[in-house]
Amino acid sequence: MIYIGVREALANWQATIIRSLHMAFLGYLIGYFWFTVTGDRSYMLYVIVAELVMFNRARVSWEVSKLIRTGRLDVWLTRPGSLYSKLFSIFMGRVVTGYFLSLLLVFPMFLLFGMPNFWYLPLALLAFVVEYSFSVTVGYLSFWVGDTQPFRFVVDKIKFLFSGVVVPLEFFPGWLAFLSKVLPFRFMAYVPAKAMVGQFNPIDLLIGLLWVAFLYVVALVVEKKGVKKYEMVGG
Amino acid sequence: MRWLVDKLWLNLRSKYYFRRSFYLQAAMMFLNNLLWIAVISLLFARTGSIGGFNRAQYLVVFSYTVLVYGLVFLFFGGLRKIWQYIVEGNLDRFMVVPRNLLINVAISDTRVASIGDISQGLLFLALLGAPLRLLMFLPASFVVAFSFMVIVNSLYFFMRDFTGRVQRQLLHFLISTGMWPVVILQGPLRFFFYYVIPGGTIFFYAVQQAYSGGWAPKLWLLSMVFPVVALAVWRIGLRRYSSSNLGFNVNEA
Repeated sequence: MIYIGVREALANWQATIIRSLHMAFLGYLIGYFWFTVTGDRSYMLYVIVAELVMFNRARVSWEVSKLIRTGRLDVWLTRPGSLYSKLFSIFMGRVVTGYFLSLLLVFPMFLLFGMPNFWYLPLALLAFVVEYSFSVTVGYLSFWVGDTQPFRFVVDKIKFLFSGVVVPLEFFPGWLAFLSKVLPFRFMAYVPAKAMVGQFNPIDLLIGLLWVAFLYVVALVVEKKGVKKYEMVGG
Repeated sequence: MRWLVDKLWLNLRSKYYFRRSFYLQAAMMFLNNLLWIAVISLLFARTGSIGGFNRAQYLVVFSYTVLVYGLVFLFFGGLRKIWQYIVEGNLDRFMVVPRNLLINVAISDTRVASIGDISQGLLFLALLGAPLRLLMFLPASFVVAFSFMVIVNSLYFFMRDFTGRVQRQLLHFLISTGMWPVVILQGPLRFFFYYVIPGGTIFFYAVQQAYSGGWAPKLWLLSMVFPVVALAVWRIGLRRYSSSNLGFNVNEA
């Protein structure tokens, strides 16, 4: 299944190129804004690295929601293993391949704004797993509400806000800064991006892993309850 | 025109069948936009003005952006699905109808969340006392945004992307240029964000001109150039279309 995801990402190479260009231009715009506001050039690099992680995320909630709504989940349910793990393989294959292709494509920007610390690259994997576990649970809400699109609007915005892609978290005022610390979203972009520009706290890695475990359990519980409610369509 | 109105009404009625979802989508989009307004406040917490725009003017740009975006997708919500029709070879069912193909596809659907965009846009433009002249530029911004979306979707005649991510990201790109201060950029990048991804012109420039009492000539020029380019790309792409475009989809995996 990982192989299917990899193949799909490679088959969509034109999409990857366009997506990377989009990231590069938008990253430059946002990074340049923070650079003009703070005078700190490292924000150019920070935004690009954070965007690389965030824009290559799984977007699994949309596809899970579609599978449930259209009744096509039955094909997946007939295969052994939990839905979480089956989807995980295919999405991670797609996400990680897309991420490395994007990394190659935006590489010239690193020559301009400085090389990120590639030792912390595995932290991007942590970001993808946290994001995947969270998103798949949002997608599972379709078992109860049908279309999760309205939730996705808001959840995506909250995710973007608290992951530090739009506004670096150190610029948040008091209570928002506190919220950003207790929610899991900062592990989706902020923590890996900061590590790659040279600010890494090992405790963050530990907390991130705890979030992975917690979100995994939540996803499995929601999946189990949701599948019991699921009704197939057609025949 | 009557056909367009009837079709919109029909689309809205079909969406209204799921009332809870209908209201929820509109309300959530409104809430989604309010979150962005909070982000703008965070941006202005660090600086008094951005690219010559104060906070109220920047909010006008944002409100105008969501208004234009909302109007395009309320009337022409089918634009978001053109990529899918191309990839899955489903344009055929529109081809057999004796109407303009592009318009027919574009009005085949509506986006309920656009109601949240439009109401938020209008409300904030009124609250912020936006110049009335801005409404004069609305048709031009609308036409450029519509054409841009046609171009983005027509790319699917030429490329492979079975997930629609490119389409979503490029549409997001356009709206991003109405949210992020492209006015601070200089040189080729400014040109890019003003004339290639035209958000700089249709949102920031339009608001700038409305405040300064100008006639926005560059915006009107774009509103003539973009439809021509969009139609050309659409027609050239259409020649490559075949009903067997069906590609690999994760849902079938």
